[in-house]
Amino acid sequence: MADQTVKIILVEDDPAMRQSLTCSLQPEADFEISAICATFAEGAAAIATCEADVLITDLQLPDGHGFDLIRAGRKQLPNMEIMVISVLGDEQSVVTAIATGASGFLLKDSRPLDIVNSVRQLVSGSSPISTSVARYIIQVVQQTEQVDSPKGLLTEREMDILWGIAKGFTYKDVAAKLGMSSNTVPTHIKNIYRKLEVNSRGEAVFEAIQRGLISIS
Amino acid sequence: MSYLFVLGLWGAAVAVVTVFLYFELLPLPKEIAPVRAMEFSQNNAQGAREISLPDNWRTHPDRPFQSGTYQTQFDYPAAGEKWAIYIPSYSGQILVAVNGAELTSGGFLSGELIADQGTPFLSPISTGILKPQDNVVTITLQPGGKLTGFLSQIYVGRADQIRGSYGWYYLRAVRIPALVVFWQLLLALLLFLLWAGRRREQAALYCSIVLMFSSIHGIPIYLPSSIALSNAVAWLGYVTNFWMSVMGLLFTYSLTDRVLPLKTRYLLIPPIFATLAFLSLPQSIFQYVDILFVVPFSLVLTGWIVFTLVYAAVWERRWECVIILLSILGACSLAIHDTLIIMNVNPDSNIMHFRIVYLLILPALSVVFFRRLVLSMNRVDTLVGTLEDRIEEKETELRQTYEQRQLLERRQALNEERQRIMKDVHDGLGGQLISIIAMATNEESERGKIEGSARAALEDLRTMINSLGVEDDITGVLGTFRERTEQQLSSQDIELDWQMIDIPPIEGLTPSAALNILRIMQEATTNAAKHSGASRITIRFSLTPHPDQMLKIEIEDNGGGLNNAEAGGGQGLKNMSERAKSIRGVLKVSSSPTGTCVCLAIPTQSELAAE
Repeated sequence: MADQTVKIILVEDDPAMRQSLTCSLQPEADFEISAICATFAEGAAAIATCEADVLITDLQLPDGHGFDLIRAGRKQLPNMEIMVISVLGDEQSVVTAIATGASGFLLKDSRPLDIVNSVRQLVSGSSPISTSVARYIIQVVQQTEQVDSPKGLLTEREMDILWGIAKGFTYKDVAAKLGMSSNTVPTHIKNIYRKLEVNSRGEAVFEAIQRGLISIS
Repeated sequence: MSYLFVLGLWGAAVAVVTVFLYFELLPLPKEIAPVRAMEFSQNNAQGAREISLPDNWRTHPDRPFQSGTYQTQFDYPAAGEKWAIYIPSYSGQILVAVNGAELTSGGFLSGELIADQGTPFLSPISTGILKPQDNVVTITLQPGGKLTGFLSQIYVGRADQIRGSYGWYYLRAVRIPALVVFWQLLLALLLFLLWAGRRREQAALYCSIVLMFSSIHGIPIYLPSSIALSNAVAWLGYVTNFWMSVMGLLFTYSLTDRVLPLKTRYLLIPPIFATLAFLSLPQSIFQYVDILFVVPFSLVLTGWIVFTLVYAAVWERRWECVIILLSILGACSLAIHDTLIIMNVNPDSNIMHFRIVYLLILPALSVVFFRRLVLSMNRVDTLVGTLEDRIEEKETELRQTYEQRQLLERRQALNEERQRIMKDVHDGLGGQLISIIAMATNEESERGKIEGSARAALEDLRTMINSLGVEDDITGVLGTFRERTEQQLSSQDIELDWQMIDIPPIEGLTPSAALNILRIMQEATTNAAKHSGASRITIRFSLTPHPDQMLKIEIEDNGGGLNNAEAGGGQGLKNMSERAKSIRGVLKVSSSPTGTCVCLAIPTQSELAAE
């Protein structure tokens, strides 16, 4: 990021969607699309070769799963930000992606401006969170704490933030309620994401998500 | 069949004992000839005369009621042999002497009552007092008791040849009566305890009372000889017999599960009266009471008992009654035997069985009651077993029913959900997709319109999915709504002012109701964005005070009011009102040139209608 250019790897198997995303990102002067991939193999190769700042990947790929790609990316380029592309932004796949190392998600029908904004936000260090994702994380954390470890995975403040968002409040409301600047809320969320990641805190959370997935489906 | 076998066996046993006792088939010494005649003198005043044995004083009413002396002579040919004198049965009190040397008194058994029965006497004769010839036996008999005086044929001879017979007579006259009385008392006690622990078992109580009364006759056996007491008991016998017949009737009725035609206490009046008469009246007068009142009454009651038993045994085939009846038949035969002796129809015997008859009845009663006890214990065991089985069965049934119900409920829920989704899809997504297809096939359509419709369709799909996450708590769904609306509006340069509050759980909020709320909000927001030209839309939440708390959702814009609305606006409002109604909500729309406000209020406590 020293040269201010954001290098992006894009992995999306649907040609139309790939085209649409490329069109949204290309015009930005400070964005550089290092690789446009249609398969898992291409994505993995791209991660290995270019030092990207952002990986934007779909989850369902013809020759593999996006989760594996996220894991690989996280391992090889620890500083790379990872976004998943989701049709509905459903909490299960989003939180699973978070647990494997993703920090943000894009809805497939997002308008170009929103996509660009999301990428910028992510690069600047803040992660997005939706009401349903906040809810799901609360559920997962509570379940994990009930089952065994890791007691006190999230701080009280972090839980308060999640609760506020889950209750339908805006970042501004949440920040006002907790007596903090509304700009710090996304940073907290990023911290939460990192804590949920399997690599940093063991398998418990991931397992809880899997359990959650099983019990919900 | 096993019952019949047992009854047959019991009948045979009763018959054998009865015949044995009725015909007095007790063995007598075979090798020794009995003394058949003796010299008899009374008071030394009259001269001795020869009489034949057995001698029954009641056959000679002319004899004064005072002691008499029998005398005879015998030879003792085999010097050194152990000899004895043996009287199988006598009544009254006797003194036996050989050559003037007195042998053990025969009166040592308990007084006159025992004498009534015909007691055996055996005493060895000391060899020192025996001469080879003309030994004199003297038997002095003091009359008393019911049978006055009686002396059977006597035996004088080798002791070992006599003992066998004596054993039998002693068993009959002494051992068995003692055993019977003990048995009566024991069984009475056990039955009383049985009744005390199980009040429903009234038969046990009555039987216990009968046995206690009947054992009164025998109590003197265990007491030191006392004529006064014996007399009292003998007299008491009249009254106890009366009590016994009353109790016997109660027992029979309880045993056969019958209900007396009159109250039990009325039945107790005659014996109470008789007892009072017995205690207060002199014996001479009571005798008349006895003959005129007590005896006939007892006989009637006894007849009643026997009739009931016969009826129950024969017609109702109650094995308990059969077994008791068999015993009673045997006992009655023996009673006839005794009566013949008392009436002196059979003057050659003084062997009475009135105490031994219980030997026939006690086993029957013991068997009946212990059989009942065993049966009821078995029944409890079976009952416990059956109950366990039944509980298990019921549990299985319940589980199955529960599972079935769950399955049905699940199916019903699924079906309802399917219906709901169908309806929702029909209302939104379906229609939008159809219009997209229509537009796509029409070459004149604008691509922008197709995109708009597709976005709306996706939006509707999201709304539907969003609504499914509801569970009394609407806040999460509203949060998701805000996120999307905010994005949509920002792309149209409209600011969303989201004024959220802490919303309490809404009772019975279903996904369907949530969807209706979301659709109203969406419609209102879309209308405001599309038609009013507003730059800001405020969505404000508030709660009205208790009771009948309502959640108020106001969607307010700063646009030009409804007058600017296009033709479709009217239909949109109508839809919103209908949706509000279906969730028991209230929708109010106010419009002015400075803006429009759609206000939806929904109850938070009463159940929201599903549709």
